[in-house]
Amino acid sequence: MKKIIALILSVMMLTLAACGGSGGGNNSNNGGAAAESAASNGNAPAASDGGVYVLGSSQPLTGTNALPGECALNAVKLAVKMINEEGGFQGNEIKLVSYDDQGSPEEAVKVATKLVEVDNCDAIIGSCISSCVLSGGEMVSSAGIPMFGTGTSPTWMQQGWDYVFRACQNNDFALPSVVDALVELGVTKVAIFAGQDDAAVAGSNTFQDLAKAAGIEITTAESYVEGDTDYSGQVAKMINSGAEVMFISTFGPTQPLIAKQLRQYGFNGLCFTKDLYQVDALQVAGAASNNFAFAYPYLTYTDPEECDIPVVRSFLEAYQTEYGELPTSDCAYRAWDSVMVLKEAINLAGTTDREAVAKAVGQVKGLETLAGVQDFTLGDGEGLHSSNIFIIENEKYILFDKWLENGGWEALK
Amino acid sequence: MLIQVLVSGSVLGCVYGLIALGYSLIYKASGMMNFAQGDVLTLGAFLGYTFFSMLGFPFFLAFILTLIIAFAFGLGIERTVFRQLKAKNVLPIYIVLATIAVSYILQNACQAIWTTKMLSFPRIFPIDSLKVFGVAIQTESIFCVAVSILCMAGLHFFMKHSRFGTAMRASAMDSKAAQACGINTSLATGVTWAIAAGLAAMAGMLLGPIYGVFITLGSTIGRKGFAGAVMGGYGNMYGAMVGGVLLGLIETLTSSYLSSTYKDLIAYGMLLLFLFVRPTGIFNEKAITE
Repeated sequence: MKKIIALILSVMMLTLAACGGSGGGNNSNNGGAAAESAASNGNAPAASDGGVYVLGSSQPLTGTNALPGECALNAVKLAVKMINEEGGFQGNEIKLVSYDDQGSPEEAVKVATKLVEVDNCDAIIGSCISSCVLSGGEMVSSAGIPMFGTGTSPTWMQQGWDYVFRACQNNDFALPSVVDALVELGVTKVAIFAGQDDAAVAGSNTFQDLAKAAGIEITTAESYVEGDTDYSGQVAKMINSGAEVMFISTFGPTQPLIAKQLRQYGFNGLCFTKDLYQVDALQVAGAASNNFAFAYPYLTYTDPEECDIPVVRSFLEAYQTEYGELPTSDCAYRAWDSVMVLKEAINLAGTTDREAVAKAVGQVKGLETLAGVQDFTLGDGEGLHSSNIFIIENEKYILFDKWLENGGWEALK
Repeated sequence: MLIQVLVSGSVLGCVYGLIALGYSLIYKASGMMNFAQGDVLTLGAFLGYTFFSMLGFPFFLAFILTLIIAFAFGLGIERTVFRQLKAKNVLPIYIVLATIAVSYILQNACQAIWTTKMLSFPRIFPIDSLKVFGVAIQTESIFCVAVSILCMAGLHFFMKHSRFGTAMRASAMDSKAAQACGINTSLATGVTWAIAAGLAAMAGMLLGPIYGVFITLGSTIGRKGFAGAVMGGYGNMYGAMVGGVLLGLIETLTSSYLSSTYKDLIAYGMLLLFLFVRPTGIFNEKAITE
């Protein structure tokens, strides 16, 4: 009997430990609500009817991806503060409600439930983890709440959700330019190293399809489990497969680890990552980061003076003033741009009504953001459809075209 | 490729072995399991970074300070958590659950103090890497292997041949009988937990230059250290190292020659196999009783 009680208590405690964790932002609760809910609040009145516009935020604030999540939330808070100083959305003060989805799809569903059913949000800035956007998107869209996901996987924008949008990169739009670059370089063999999360898998699959269509052989495709730090087995296989270039499809925190291990075991060639090679990864991996390239709309910086794009520099200075440091993850840019597009849509709609705002998103065009000019008029819910390619040389970011002009590829061969 | 895989697998295994030593030590000397070892590793990495990189202390001084703090932490956990629960005569599983809670608390505390950034731990040695059987291995990794082997041998002799080590084992075997013999069981148990914490913190400081420092550094390594300890014979110092190395080799061989996707499935499958076929582990340590 005692053993049965002990077993039950063990399961309960482990369940509580898995469900526990602090919420971020202005709300001390985290996603402890029921995981599933079939309720639809499509007809519920907008919370802003009372003079307050409720903006929800779901980001990983604990766990492996806490850094990107924290940067994203900071950017949203900064945007909210600045917009409120200007009078809010249509005269309504923005109230930010933030939860920690822990980077877990299961937790993201609970968070979505709270944002929809308890907080009755007017709009939501979704997670930078695509798996979390994918798991909570159905509920949010069914409730008629506009949501801007900040993940880069193509999958969640393929679900046909009318109220889900993206104001940051879709990896599917960037990877063709990566493959084109490889074809131009005459590369015929590529090995892949990918995580097992949605964005990593989607990035890897898209790259494989594009590469094969372009006549590039994928010599091997290796993966790792989130939390692992040693990839020596995978690296050995990749190097011995005869690959000329490596394609790395992982989260930011994994980048310096794979960079160091690739260089340690003797691969000093060109590597492409599926998105930005973060500045903190550059600091950790140091010289091992050289010859890592990526197609991405923006860069992270260690000093605003390094940035020669006025709108980005302005954001960096404001962020630094508010938080005493620069964002180390591009998720800050993604989240900021999402709020700016939402603001533009509300201005175009002339109201905070959710349905009107969602329709107005499709009219946003020519809006200059940190990522470049947003254009939602193509009707796919995406604001960005192209990006630059950058590469790291001497531990600095430069444009890939400039690196080619300087003979970088010839020197590497 | 085989040599590269064997060498890197052995290096990885020694890291697991260092953590496994902590698990085995605590079990050997107090009969308990402590699932916070992985996060104590993370704490050690952050402390080492703070002393060595932020405050600019010489590495040896930073190392000693980290060990002292980890030692005090282990002692503190034993006094405030383990001993209090044991005094209430709770079931052993409750103490295990308490260590899991400590693990989460520690992880979040590290996040609160050092934030979520991945920190760059400076190199300890001026030479970046050395060739071992023709394979380039980071110098800090080789140092980690050497320290692991020294700790294994040192702990074995300490537990078997030193007076205090014998006292620690006696306390674990039968606390009341040990007290009757004049052994300070309270001190023995406390020192056990302190040494285990010191081992984990030491591993953290050695891994920092290899992997960087971040809040989940020790999470997975901690679990695998436990698996290595079981495979080697839970409670056996040599078994901890051998089990760790075996696990490291299985992982790297699997990901190199079979599938990296199922690396953990195969590695933990081996653990289950051991539990079914040889629960006392490679070194036949009779830790598994009714």
